[in-house]
Amino acid sequence: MKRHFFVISLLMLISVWVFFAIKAGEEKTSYQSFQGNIFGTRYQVQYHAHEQLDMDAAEIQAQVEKLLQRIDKIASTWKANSEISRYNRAVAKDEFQLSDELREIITLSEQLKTSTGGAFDIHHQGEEIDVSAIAKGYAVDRIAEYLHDELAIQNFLVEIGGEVKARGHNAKAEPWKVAIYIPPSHSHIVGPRVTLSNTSIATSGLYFRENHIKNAETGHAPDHDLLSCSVIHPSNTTADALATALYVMGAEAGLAWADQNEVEAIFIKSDGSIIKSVQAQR
Amino acid sequence: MKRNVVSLTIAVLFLTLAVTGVMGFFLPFNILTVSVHALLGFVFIGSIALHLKNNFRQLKNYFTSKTALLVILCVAALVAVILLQPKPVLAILGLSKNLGPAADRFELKDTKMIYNYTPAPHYKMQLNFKGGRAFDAEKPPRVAIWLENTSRYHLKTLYHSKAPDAQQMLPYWHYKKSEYEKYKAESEAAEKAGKKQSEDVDALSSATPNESFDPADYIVPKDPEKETPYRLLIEINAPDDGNEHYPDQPSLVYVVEVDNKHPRSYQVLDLVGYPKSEMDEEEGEIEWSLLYADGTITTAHDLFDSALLLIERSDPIK
Repeated sequence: MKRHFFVISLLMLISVWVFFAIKAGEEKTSYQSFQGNIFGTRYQVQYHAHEQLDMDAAEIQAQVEKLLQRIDKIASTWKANSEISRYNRAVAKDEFQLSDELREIITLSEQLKTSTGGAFDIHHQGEEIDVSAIAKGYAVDRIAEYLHDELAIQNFLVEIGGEVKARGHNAKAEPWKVAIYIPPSHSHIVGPRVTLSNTSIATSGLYFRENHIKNAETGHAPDHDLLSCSVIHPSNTTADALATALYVMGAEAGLAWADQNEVEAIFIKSDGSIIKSVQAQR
Repeated sequence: MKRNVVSLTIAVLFLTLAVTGVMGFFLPFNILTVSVHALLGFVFIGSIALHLKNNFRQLKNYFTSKTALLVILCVAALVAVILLQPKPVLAILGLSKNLGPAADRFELKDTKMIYNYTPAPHYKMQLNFKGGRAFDAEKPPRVAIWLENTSRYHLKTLYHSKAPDAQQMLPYWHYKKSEYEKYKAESEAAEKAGKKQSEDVDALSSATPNESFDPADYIVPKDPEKETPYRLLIEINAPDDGNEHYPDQPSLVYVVEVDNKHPRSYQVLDLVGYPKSEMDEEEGEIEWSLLYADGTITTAHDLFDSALLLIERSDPIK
């Protein structure tokens, strides 16, 4: 009898343990993630799968990739048949039928060119344009919009090639934590960390790809001791473009611009010093 | 032969074969590893024959038991599973760095050159060059064939001539490959640093990192529905083909873009230009770029009449 009691108690204990283990597993798996390659770089999405969400991660990824590929077909200068390549080849640019997306990107780029005094400029070689410095940020915003507006996801993080936008909180119920990357050549620097909730961050620097950022006036890569420049802004499209513009300006002029325009900016210099705009210090 | 000698030989050979087998699977193709593994394999077979002879009576008893049938069935089932190549088997095979070269073959014939490449059982690639007026199999042209990603980084050299002057005669390929080796090392170091820095955060914000350098991600992507365009390039240069403009005409580079999302069986390679070097004053390094092949290039154009890429794809999921 005693033995039966012991066995039954043990079984009950195991059942309770299994029940809680399964529940804990469910809690944990309600945060999903996926990643892939796009625009010649990598992307990742992390999100909280709420109970009403009737799509699994693979279905959401398929939709996200459709969006990314649409933007790639519009903005890729690598593809000969992309909209931007056809636009650049067009003789009569005024007559070219621009898609809504490319028109939006060009309009915003022109506004940012004016406000940054030409530090951000999508024009190369006369009338030709290259929107690579803003397209990733634009794509991050479109995916964030899809997750929030169409799928009603309240907690997510989207990252494309180092441009990050986050909303709500992470799986630990904390604001999303993002570190600014430091290349191995400067491993003595500790990368600053920021918390993101309903905002985004974009970073520019030349440590991965040399000479891809050029000063429009000189046509050469900026000659200063800035390792990277990060901008925090609710719109990742704007953050992406401003990070490039402020990187081109350099720490001193970039900081002055950021303070004057109340922009959150973080400059990391090669010697390890980290300079934050007034907005970023708050 | 004495039992103890045979048993010890088998044990030592087995250990050597196990080590070279694992190395052969996980490390990039190395002729020395494969030679040791293959040739010692034959010695191992001989030793096993002696072992069977020494233990024939016991083995005979084993093979008359029910266990023998079970073991035979289990091994047959394993062989069948490997031959059918379901997803888990493909995933294990995918860990190998060494399955491609076995199906990698370059043939030079009197009037043509053929290059076969089979990166996966369901994906066969053949480059077919039909020789032109200037093609001379007796004095074969130097050739390099490689793949590039959308950022125009070299991904993998599929083939290059083994002649001692190949690097000098194929400067564009050599430049691209050297750049790739430099960037790959930097990219790996950057990735390692990135992993460490992202240990206790949700993401990293950085300048744009490079995409994958793994050719398998482009040629045989895990999801065939994804757009993974890549470029296949060939650089070709005939020795001693001087003309009135050059003591030896430069190499020519041809390219074809492949995208598995939009599969095509036949694609023609297009001429993109000839390589020319210039000094990058800022970096202090020599850079190579491609220039339009104008009228100064004459017979080099006639090395082949046509260059065709054929790709045979079948369903990867069996």
